[in-house]
Amino acid sequence: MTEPLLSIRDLVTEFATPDGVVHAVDGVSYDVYPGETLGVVGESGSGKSVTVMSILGLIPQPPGRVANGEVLLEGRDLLTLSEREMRLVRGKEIAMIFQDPMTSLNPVLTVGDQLSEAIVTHDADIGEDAARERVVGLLELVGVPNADDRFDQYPHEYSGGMRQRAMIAMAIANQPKVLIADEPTTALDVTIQAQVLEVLQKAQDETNAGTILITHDLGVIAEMADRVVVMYGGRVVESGTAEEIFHSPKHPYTLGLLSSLTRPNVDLERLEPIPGQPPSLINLPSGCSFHPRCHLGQGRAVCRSEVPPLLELGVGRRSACHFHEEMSQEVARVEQETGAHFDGEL
Amino acid sequence: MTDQGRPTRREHGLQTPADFPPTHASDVHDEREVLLDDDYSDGAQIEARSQWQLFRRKFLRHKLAMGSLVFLVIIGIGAFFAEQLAPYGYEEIDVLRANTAPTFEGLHFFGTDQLGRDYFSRVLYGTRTSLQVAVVVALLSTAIGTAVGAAAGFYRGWVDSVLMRLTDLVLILPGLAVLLVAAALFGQGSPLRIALILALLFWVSLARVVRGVFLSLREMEYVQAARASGASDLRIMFRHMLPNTIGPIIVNLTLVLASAILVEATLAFLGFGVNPPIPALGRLISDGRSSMQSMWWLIIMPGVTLVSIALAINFVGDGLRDGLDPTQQET
Amino acid sequence: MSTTATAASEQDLHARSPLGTEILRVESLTKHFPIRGGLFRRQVGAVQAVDDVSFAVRAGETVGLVGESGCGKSTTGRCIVRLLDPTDGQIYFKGVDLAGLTSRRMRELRREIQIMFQDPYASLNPRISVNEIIGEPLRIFGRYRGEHKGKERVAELMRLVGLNPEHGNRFPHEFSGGQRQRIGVARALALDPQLIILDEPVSALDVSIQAQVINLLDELQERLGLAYLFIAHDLSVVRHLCDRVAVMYLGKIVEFGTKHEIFDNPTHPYTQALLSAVPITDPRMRGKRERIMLEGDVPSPSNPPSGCRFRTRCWKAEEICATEVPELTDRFGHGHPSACHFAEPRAVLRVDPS
Ligand SMILES: Nc1ncnc2c1ncn2[C@@H]1O[C@H](COP(=O)(O)OP(=O)(O)O)[C@@H](O)[C@H]1O
Ligand SMILES: Nc1ncnc2c1ncn2[C@@H]1O[C@H](COP(=O)(O)OP(=O)(O)O)[C@@H](O)[C@H]1O
Ligand code: SF4
Ligand SMILES: [Mg+2]
Ligand SMILES: [Mg+2]
Repeated sequence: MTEPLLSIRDLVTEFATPDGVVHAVDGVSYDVYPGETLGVVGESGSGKSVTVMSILGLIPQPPGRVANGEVLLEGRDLLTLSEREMRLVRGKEIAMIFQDPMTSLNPVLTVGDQLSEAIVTHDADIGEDAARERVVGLLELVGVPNADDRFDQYPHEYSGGMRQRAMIAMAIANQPKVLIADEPTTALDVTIQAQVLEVLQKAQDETNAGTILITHDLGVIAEMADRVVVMYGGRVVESGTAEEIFHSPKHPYTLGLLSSLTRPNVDLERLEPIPGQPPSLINLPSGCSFHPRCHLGQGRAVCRSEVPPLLELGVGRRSACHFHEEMSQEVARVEQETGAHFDGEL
Repeated sequence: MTDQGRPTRREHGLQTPADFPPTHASDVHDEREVLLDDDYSDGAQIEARSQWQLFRRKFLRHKLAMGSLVFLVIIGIGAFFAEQLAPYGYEEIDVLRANTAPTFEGLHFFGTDQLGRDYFSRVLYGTRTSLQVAVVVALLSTAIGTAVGAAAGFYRGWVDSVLMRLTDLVLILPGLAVLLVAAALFGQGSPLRIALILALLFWVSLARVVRGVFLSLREMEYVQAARASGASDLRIMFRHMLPNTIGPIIVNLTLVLASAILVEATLAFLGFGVNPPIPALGRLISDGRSSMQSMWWLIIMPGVTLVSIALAINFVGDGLRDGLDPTQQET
Repeated sequence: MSTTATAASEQDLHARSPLGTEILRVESLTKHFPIRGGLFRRQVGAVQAVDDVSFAVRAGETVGLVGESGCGKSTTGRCIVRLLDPTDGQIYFKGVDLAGLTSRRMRELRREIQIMFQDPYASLNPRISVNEIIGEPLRIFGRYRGEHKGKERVAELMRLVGLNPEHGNRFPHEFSGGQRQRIGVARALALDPQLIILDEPVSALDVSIQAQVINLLDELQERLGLAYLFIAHDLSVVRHLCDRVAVMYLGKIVEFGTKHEIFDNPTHPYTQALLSAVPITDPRMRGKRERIMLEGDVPSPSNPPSGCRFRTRCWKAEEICATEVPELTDRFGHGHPSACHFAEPRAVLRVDPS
C-alpha cells in the first residue's frame, strides 16, 4: 500500500463531567489512504464523532481534553498546531460534512454566498465572478438543478437532500485531501440517501480525497466503504476490508452487530441481538469492555481481567479479542441461530 | 407470522438471576431470549437518582442561590417572629434616644427616628408586612396565571383566543396608573387589599408562559399516549402536563415575589401603600425621605433591606431555573 | 354494516378472534389538516396528509405501513386510535364503526386498540415512576384497585417485557432508550389489547438494541396472539416483522401485498424505487444491483400532483398519469393491488448474477 494520508495514533480524548471523567476516545489508531473510503461504524456514544472532532481540533475545552496521541496529516502532527494554523487546515486540507446541514449552514446568508466565502477564505485572490462561477460549477457537480438560480436562495429554500448536496459542494470546494462525513445521510429518507451517497461518491472521485465515512448504519458501510473500522466504548475493536468485516468478522461485537441486523433481501429466521446495554464510558468494564455482553467470552477470566490488545491478524486486519481464533465457530453458531449465511449471499 | 419452522429459543447459557423467578409458568418464561437488562448491569448506565436528587445537587452547587436562600430563610424567620424578636414594638418610643444613628446602645441597630421609635424593630415589622403582601400576590397571581394559561394552551381554539385577548388587555394597561386608581378607589391600607390588586395585574406573564408550555406539551408523545389510553382531560392536565410545567411556574413565582415587594414599596412611596400604623418597607423609605440629609439611616436601612431581599429572591430564582431545567448541562 | 352492536356481539368485541379473521378495517380514511392564514385565520388550504386509504388487519398478523417521512403513516395510526378525528372515511373494529359510537362505548373499545410511539425519550412522562406509567391505563379503566391487583399486574407486565419489577419505582430518565421502549410496550399491553399500532417503535434505537425490541415484539405477538400495525420507514425491519405490507406515498397507499409480493415482486414504480434505494448489507453485492434513482423530492402534500401523486418523479409517467387517479386494484390476479397505470413486476432486489 501507499503511504497513509492521515494517521491517527493512540488518540485519547476525555471529558470532565460532574459524574466523572468520560473516556470518549481511549487509544484509537487508524489510517486513511488517498482515494479510499474508510467506514467508521459503531453504536451511538462509541466515540466516532469525538475522534474526528479531535482530528480537527474542535473539542470544546473545557470540559474536553485531547490527552494523548498524534494525528499525522502527511507526516505533520495536527495536534501540535496552533489554532491559527489549524484554521488553514480545516476546510482546505480536511473538510467536514455533518449530519444536520441545517445547523451547519447560516440561515441568513444565501447558499451561494456561503460557498463563495468558503472558497475566498482559502483563496483571497479569486475575483467575485470567478468565485461565483466555481460555486455554480460545484452545485452542478453535486446535482443541484438550476444551480445558477439556486445560488441566490437561502438554506430554508432547499430541501433536506439539496442542503446536504450543498454541504458536500462546500466540503469539496477547496479540493481537500481528507473528507470527513459524519452521519451524512442519517437524517434523510432512503431515496434521498441513495442520491446523496451517489453524490458523495462522485465528489470523492473528483477530488481523490481520502474519506472517513462515519455512520451507525451498516447498510451504508456495505455500500460505500473500502475498509472498515469498528468502534466500541471509545476503542477500535476490529478493522479490515468491508468484505472481511461483513463476511468473516473477527470480533464478537462486530458479529453481534451483524446478527442484530435485519436485511432487506433475505428472510432471517430470527435476530440475535447483543444483550444488555452499551457501556458507561466513565466506568468501563474491566478487561475487555465488551465482556459483559459477549457470548464468546462469557465466564472466561481473561476477558474480565485483561484488556485484549488490538492484534494485527494480517495486512490491515486487526481484532481486539482474546479469542479471535474461535470466531469462525462463533460465526457458524450464529448462522445456525439466525439463518443468515455470512459467507454466502447476505 | 408463520409459526412452523420458527426455531426454538436459543439456550443462551447466561443465567437469569436466582432472585428472579418466572411469573406465571403458563404464560411467561420459557428460556427468555430477551435478556433482562440487569444481567448486564456492569456496563449499563442506569443510576438510581431521583429527579429531586438531581435538582438538589444542581441547586446546591449554585453558591449564590444557596447563600441567598439562607439569607432569605433568616430574614423570613426574623420577620415571622417579629413580635418575639424585635427589641421594641413598632410604635414604642424611646424618648431619650430620638434621632440616634445606628448603635448598639439600647439595641438600636438601625438607629431611631425623630419620635424615638426603634428603627430595627420597625424594619423588622415592615419586612413582615412587605413579605406578607408579596407572598399573597405571588400565590394568587400564580394560581390565576396557571389556570388561565393551562386552559388556553389545553383547549386552544376560542377559549385560547378569549383568554389571550384578556391577557393582552391586562398587559397593555399602564400598570402603575391602574394601581394608583385602584388604590384610590378601593381604599388603601389593608395589606390584603393591596395584595389582591397587585395579583390581578401580575398573573399575565405566567399565563403566557404556561400557555406556551402547554401548547408544546400537548404534542408530546406521552400526553398523546395518555390520551390514547383513554385518560380524561383533567387527568391529562393534572397528571401529565402541570407537573412538567412546575419549573417555569416556580421560577415565575420568584420573579413575581421580588417585583411585588418592589412595586408595593413604590406604591407606598407614592402614598398608596399599606397604611400606618403598620409599617411596610416602602412606607419606611417614604417616611425617611424628608430627613434624608441629616438622618441617612432612615432611608438606607429599609432601602438596603428591601433591595437585598429582592436580589436574594432573584438569585434563588436563578438557582431554581438552572436546577429545574433538565436540559441544562452541569459544568 | 351494523353500527349498533347487540349485547351478544359486545362479548365478541372483547374476546380474541381466531387468528386470521379480520379485526380492523379502514375504509377510505382521509385526513386533511387545514392551513389557516390571513388576518382572520381563515382556511386557505389543506395538508392532504392521508387521502382515501383502505386496508384491513387480521387477528394475529402484522401489517406494515411503510413510506418516507411525511407520507401520512403516523396520521393514519393516530386516526385509528382516535387521537385525530378523520376528515372522512370509516374505521371498523370487528365490524363496528368506531365513529358511530357513544363516547362511553368508544372508551371501552379503545382498550382493544393501543398505540406505541417512536421516541423513547418523549413518550414517557419524566415526572412519574415506571410503575405509575404502566399502571395508568389500568387506573383509567378502573382495573387497578382491589381485586384487580394492579400492582401485581404491573410487575407481571414488566417481567413480560424483560424489565426487573424491582425497578418499577424508578423514573424514565434512569433507563436507556431500549428499556424505555420496553416500558412503552408494557404500557400498551396493560389493558390486554387485540391490536397495537406501533409507530416506528425501533427507529430511534441502535441496531443491537433495535434487535432486542424486535425480538420482544415478535415474541409477544406469538405468545399473546396480538395483531400489529407496524409503521416504519426501514424496509428491512418491515421485511423481518411483517406478514403484509402497505406502501404509502404522499397520503395514499400505492401498493399492498404479502411481504413476499412486495419485496420480491413489486409492481409499483415507487415501491421499486424505494426497494432499490435500500442499502444491501453485503459489500459483495455492491454495484451488482440495478439502481433506480428518483429525481427530486416529494411534492408538498398541500398541493399534491393531479392524477397519480407519484408522476412528478416517475420514469414511466405518461399523459394518463396526470389526468386519471390510478386505482389501487389487483392488476395481475396475485391478490396484490397496485395503484399504477403501468404497473409491472420487477424484481429490484434480486442481484444479477454477472
Ligand atoms: N462535550 C461533551 N461533554 C461531555 N461528554 C461528551 C461531550 N461530547 C461527547 N461526549 C461523550 O463522548 C462519548 C462519545 O461521543 P461521540 O463520539 O459523539 O459518539 P458517536 O460514536 O455516537 O459519534 C459519548 O459518551 C458522549 O456523551
Ligand atoms: N397536526 C398537524 N397539522 C398539520 N399538518 C400535519 C399535522 N400532523 C401531520 N401533518 C402533516 O401531514 C403529513 C403526514 O404526516 P405524518 O403522518 O406524520 O407522516 P409520517 O408519519 O409518514 O412521517 C406531513 O406533511 C405532515 O407535515
Ligand atoms: S475478548 Fe472476550 S469478551 Fe472481549 S470480545 Fe473477545 S471473547 Fe468477547
Ligand atoms: Mg456521532
Ligand atoms: Mg411518523
